[in-house]
Order: sequence, then C-alpha cells, then structure tokens
Amino acid sequence: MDCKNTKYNLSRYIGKQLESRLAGELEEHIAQCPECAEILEKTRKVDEYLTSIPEQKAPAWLKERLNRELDKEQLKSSRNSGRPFNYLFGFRGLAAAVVCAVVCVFIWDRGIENPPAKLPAPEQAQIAQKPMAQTSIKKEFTEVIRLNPGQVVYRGPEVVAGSKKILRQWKDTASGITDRETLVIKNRGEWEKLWRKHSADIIPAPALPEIDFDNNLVAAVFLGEQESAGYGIRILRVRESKNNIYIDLEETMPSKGAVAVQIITRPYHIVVVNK
Amino acid sequence: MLSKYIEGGPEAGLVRLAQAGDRNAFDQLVIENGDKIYNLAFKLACNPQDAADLWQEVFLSAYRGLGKFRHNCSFSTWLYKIAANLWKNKLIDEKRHGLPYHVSLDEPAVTEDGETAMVFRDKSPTPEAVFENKQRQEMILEAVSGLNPGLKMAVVLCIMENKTYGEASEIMGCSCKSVDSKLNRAREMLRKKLSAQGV
Repeated sequence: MDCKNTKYNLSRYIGKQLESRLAGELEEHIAQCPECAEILEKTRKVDEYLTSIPEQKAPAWLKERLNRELDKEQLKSSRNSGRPFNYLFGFRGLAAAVVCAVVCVFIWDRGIENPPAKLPAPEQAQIAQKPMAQTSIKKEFTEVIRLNPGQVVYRGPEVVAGSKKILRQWKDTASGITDRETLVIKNRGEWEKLWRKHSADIIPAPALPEIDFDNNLVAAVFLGEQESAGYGIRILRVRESKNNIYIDLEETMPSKGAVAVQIITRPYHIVVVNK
Repeated sequence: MLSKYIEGGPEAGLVRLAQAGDRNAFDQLVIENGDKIYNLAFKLACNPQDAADLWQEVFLSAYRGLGKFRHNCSFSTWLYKIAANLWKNKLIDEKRHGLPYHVSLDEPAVTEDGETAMVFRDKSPTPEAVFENKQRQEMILEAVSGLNPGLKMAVVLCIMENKTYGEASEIMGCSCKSVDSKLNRAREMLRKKLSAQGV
C-alpha cells in the first residue's frame, strides 16, 4: 500500500472498519513510512482528545422546564381534541356526507321515476275525553343541615384520595408469571421474589430495579397466560383510602372475529407510585 | 421460551403507552433518554445554553410527533434523528442570519435560580494539569465547532458517541460510505488544525 491509499484508509483503520487484509497492508506501510506513522499517531490523538470530553448530564431544572412545556402541550391538545370538527374528523365527516348525499340523490331520483302509491287516509281515532283531575300541590322544605366549623360528615363506605403519580413503570406482553394476579408490594423481599418470577424467562436475567420502599410502593397486574396476541392489561390509576389501596385497571382482548397472531402472551403492567 | 424483545422490549411498551396519551409513560422515556440526548446536544452545541434549548426542543418535537413514530427503529435512535435534524436546521438558520456558533466552557449554565458554574469531572491532581486539560478540551470543541454540520455530526456520533457506521447512517439519513467519507475528511481537518495549535 502506498502513502496515498494509506491516508485514504486511515480513518476506517482507526475506527476498526477496515477489512483485515487491507489493515495488514496499512500496518506494513506504516512500519516503513515515518510520515504516515506520524499522521496515524496524530489522528489517533485527535480521537483520544475527542473521547476525553466528559459526559454531560441533563440538569434537573431543565427537566422541570420541559415538564412545564409538556403540561402546556397537553392542555393545548386536550382543547383541540374537544373541537367537534378537527382535521381528521372533518375529512372523514366530509367524505361520509358526500356518500350520503349521493345515495340520497339516487334514492330520490328512483322515487320520482317510481312514485309510491298513495297511502290510505288514516281512520279517525276516537279520542276519549277525560275531565282534568284535580291535584293538589304540596310543598315541602327539606331541612338544611348546617355544619359547624370543623364538623365533617362522612358519606359512603370511606374517603378515597386522588390518584397517585406513577414514578416508574414496566409494561409488555412477556411476563414469566402465568396466572392472573394483582399485587401490591411494600418491601424489598417481596419485590425481589416478584421480579425473579416475572423475569424467569429472560436470559440473562435483568438486574433487580432498586426501589425506595420507605417512600414508594409497587402495584403490579398480570393477565396470565393467553393463547394469542391482542390481550393487554393496564393500570389506569392507583388510589388509596385509610385502609385500602384501589387499583383501577383496564383489560383488552381481541374483538370477536378479529385475526390475532397465535402466540402465547402474558401481558403485565408494573408501576411504582409514591406512598 | 418467551423473549423479552417480542415487541422491542419494555421501551416499546412505554412508547405505545405514550402514543395512547399516557403522559407518565412519556415522562419515563424522558428520564431514560434524557442524559444521553443532553450529552449529544452539548457536543453538538458546545455550550450549555444552546444544548439546553436543543434538548428541550428534541423532547417537545418527539411529544408532538409521537403518532408518527412507526417502531421501525429504537426510540432513542428516533430521538437522535430528531436532534440531528433540529441541529442542522438551526445551523442553516444561523448561517442565514449571519450568527456565529461559538464554544464556551467558561460561560456558566443558566438556571431558573440564577447561574451556576459548569463543573467538569477531572482526575488531574495539579491545578496546572487541570488548566491544561481544560484548555485542550476548549481547543478540541472549538476545532469541532469549526467543521461544517455534516462533518461535525459524523464526528460527534461516530467518535464521541461511539455509534457504528450503520447507526450513524440511519441517524444522519445517508449511506455508510458517506459517513466514512465525512469522518475521513473531518479527522484530517481536525488533525491539521490541532497540529497547527500545538496540541
């Protein structure tokens, strides 16, 4: 290999993208050519300096700023979806209206050519005349319960707090757990046991995600083994009362007559929420 | 035996949730990809303010365009592509308006509470070695800044981010041969520039 081809192949050689035969020829030339050897050395140094630039982490304030912008986007899109006529609906609606109009014209046109026979006049119905019933209207006032300051009236079985924020989650259709289960995990021991069972089919086994059980808990739902794709399970929200934790979840299944891939699935959804 | 990667792994599940409107799922995707995208943004922008703006724009664009993601690559590759396009468009815009892109490692990062100095992790024991290291890093970033957008993107992806030619070609939307050619030219330009500066 000459100097020109050496310089041409240098970048690929340094990036380990050069095939071994050419790499061998390049190395032979480098051993005999001080100028090309110096160029190789300097180019390697450039790579070394480039990779010495430290890794940067996104600052926390930047993530908070993004969250505020995403909240605005979410509000904007929820307002837009409330409009009765959005872009996609408008097109489909318009297309449907055109089809209906064409069908109506067709039917109307056929109607004029073949007008229906006159309908017979309706018979006069005998309408019974009843005297107006006398009614008396009784007015009742419901006594208003006035609460004293600090007094609270509980209605229903118990007070349930609002939704907890989901801090972390895993969702897929390939759990190692074959039975339908709904679990709330509050300590590391139970979490370790669940994770091991859940990831039993994965090689190599994924590391146990660390969770701060002093401040958080885990809610996990497993649909169990299903015979095809198209099944799913999702935790919509987690709420709690004084004594209970409520998990609202949604299950999906293939609709009747739908074609679903015939593979075994085991849908699941695991979430970490604050206590 | 079931594989975890039937539908592309747990990240694909999160993306599908986010596409269905689950904001928590998208927040989780930001947590999982935030640092690597910021790292990329910083190496492209070479200063923390532009890096922060680029980073935010990447995730806002991803959020708005979630419906367009077809799961034909990983979500993080898709984010890289968004970053590459946004950066390229920004440079075209700046060139049109005659604005320079600059390097500054000394400018403090702007925060909501004020300014904080940027801190580089550095294992050198002496102040002189720290200064020399910082100077060299500034010169490297300045040299990279001087490359045209295509060459810079190839350098950042293949050398600084250690992407393969295939990954870089997918992100940049060009062939592997084109990536190789850009890298070759970029390395030659950087070598000559840094040699001239005595690095």
